Amino acid sequence: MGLPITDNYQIKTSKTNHKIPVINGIHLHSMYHPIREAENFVSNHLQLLQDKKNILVFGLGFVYHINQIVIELQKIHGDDYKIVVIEPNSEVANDCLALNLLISDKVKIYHGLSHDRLYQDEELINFLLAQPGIIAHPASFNLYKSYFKNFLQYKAPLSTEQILMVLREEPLKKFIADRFINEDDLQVALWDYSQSNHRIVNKLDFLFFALEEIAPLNGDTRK
Amino acid sequence: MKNVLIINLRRLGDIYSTGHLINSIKQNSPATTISLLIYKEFENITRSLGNVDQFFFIDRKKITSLRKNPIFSPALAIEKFYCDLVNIQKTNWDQIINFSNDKIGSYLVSYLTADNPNIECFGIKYLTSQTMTRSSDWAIMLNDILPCYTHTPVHFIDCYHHLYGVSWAPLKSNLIKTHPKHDQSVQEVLEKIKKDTPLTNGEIQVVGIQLKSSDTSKDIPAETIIELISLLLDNSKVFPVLLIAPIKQEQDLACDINAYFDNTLVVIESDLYALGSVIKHLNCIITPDTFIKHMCDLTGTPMVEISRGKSPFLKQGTYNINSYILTPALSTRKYEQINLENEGRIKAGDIFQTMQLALKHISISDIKLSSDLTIYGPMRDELGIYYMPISGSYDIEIELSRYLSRYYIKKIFNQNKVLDISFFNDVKNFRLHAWLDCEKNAVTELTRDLLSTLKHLLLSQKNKTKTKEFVVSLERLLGHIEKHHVASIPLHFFKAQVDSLTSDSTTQNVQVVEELLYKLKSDIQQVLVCFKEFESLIQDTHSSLKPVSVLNMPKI
Repeated sequence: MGLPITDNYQIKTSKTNHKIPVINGIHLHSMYHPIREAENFVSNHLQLLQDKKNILVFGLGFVYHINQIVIELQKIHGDDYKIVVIEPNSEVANDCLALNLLISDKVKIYHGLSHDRLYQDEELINFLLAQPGIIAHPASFNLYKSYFKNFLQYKAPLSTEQILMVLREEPLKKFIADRFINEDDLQVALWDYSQSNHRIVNKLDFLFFALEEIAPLNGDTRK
Repeated sequence: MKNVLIINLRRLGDIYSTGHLINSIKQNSPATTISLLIYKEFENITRSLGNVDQFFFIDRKKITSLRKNPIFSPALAIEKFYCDLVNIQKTNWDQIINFSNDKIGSYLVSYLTADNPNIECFGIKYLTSQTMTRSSDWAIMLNDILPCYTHTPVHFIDCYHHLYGVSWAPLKSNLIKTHPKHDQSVQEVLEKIKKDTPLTNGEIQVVGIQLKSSDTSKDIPAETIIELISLLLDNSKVFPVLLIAPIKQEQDLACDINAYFDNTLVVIESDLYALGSVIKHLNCIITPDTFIKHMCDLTGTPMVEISRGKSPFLKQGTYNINSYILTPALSTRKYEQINLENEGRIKAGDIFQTMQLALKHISISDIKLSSDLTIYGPMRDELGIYYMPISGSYDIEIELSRYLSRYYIKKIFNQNKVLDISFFNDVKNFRLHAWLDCEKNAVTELTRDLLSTLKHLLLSQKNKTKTKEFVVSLERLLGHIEKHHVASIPLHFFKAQVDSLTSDSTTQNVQVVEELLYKLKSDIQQVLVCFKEFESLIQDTHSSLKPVSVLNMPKI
């Protein structure tokens, strides 16, 4: 999945004198009162913020909505919260950061990254494993609908070749490359391998057999 | 100095129960360093379980999520698992004990020892042929016999001691770690209770009641708890407190029960770390089968263990000889999550009396239990802890089976020479003979099939076309395992050894099977010797199912 293309990007100023990014003619915040708009927007998500201290936000804009989420999370959870923002447009993100608009250092921004790159980031993976609440910034989400939808529906590549690109540990890479190099689905191949009665020649065999026991897939593809 | 790794990929209670083995190892050789590999979801135990020099973790939850969720690359789960084990791999271990005794633990032992054959392993592991190998006959006992026997004659903790070859050592005081602040606040609460409810003779004794277990089939029903609290409140010598974890379900239950008593009860809510302080300072604890009972065993706090539903107390009940187990009679137990209808029903009065016994307020002869219930008391013999029925109803056949099985095990492992059946003095009767006849018949049938297997083995050696007959007769012989007679025990050993045959040569394997069959024959002879000894000691008597309070208790 490639990154969305921006034909036209400019920064305008709202009536309240706030900077507003405008992409392909779409204003990402209110030109009248972006702060009030953000307050109204976040007030619709108060229950979610009550239930979750980790929030994943789709769309950075110029962070007016994010600052409002920060304010509410601080009220509820004190300093024990984290926000991760995903923004496909690096130009907007860089301008936003240059303007120094963000009011919290507990916000991590990922911008201009493909889905494959995002899903290989350890910090983001750990954040996602903690099952964060999700809030989509409507203007950004509508602008980059397919990018965000594909992020939500992402399926990691399963072929040995692509998995070897993610693996970092050399002994594991060698073990897999030696045995499963042309497999379309390494998970299924590993399961089949664990069911075969071959003589063990590499101690990593034991590791993979133990993995099949700890987190069994029973040969099924992942759902 | 020895560097020992214990792999225990089980739940909280099992991890606490490792404390007994660790204590014995440390007391027998204080310079030993002990590390424990557990699942990360039980990481909280590191602040509570003492005597462990280092903990290692496998983050099972994360690995499972990474593996099963399609958004994550399979590489991430593989790498996470590998990295969780990197530091363990880098350590020079002298010994690895597979306390998990499951496939995962066994694969990990094989993985961690593959490059270093000098590491001594205890328990089961896999060979390069993918055959499972056991470190000793005690590993067979642990892996093949105990899980199959409903009325197991040996306790898990003892099995681990024998497996590792260390003698049990009395508990030291630091097995459960506590924080001085927690100790102080618990003491303050208890002092206030004692001050507010003074006794003319001595101090009031505070009894904790654990409300919930991990399995509803094991729980004490709420209405029984309410009745029990009423009985405790009516007794001037004791004061009840409710013990709960900071979990909504338990908080709600405590709230409901407390409301029944106009919110006058004391509820102690504590996390795993603070719980140690609570347990240490209470006089007695009443609990279903929970990890709390294992904590009590490590602190030496007397306890009444309520064993019902899935709780398999004969394998892993309380290890404290000052505690008691109250259970529906074994003949009614199904050890199931559902279908508790036919189990004897434990009433509040039964629990109350057992608690009085634990606090030494009454003696065994004072107890009058509801029908179909038994109180078991743990007793220590040369093999370890054995549960004796000390009050209530019990089934002679089941008790005899357990007792004679244990005697046989003592005989083969410890060369025990003396069979003491004083416990059964008053119950010698025709049913006792009937049980013996039944067991002897089982030996006869087993011997017949054993001889047939031997015959077919010899024939197949001369004539390859007879191999099928040999296989059929071997299968028939192994079928006796399901019958759970005393004689099934040597057969279990035989089967485990046959399953572990490692040679690629059929001729060699057949030769080993032949040797094992002759060994089985000799072991079955030992079973018969046990029966003969027993037969010479028994005489006729009249009843089979009767109160055991009149029985002679064996000396501890």
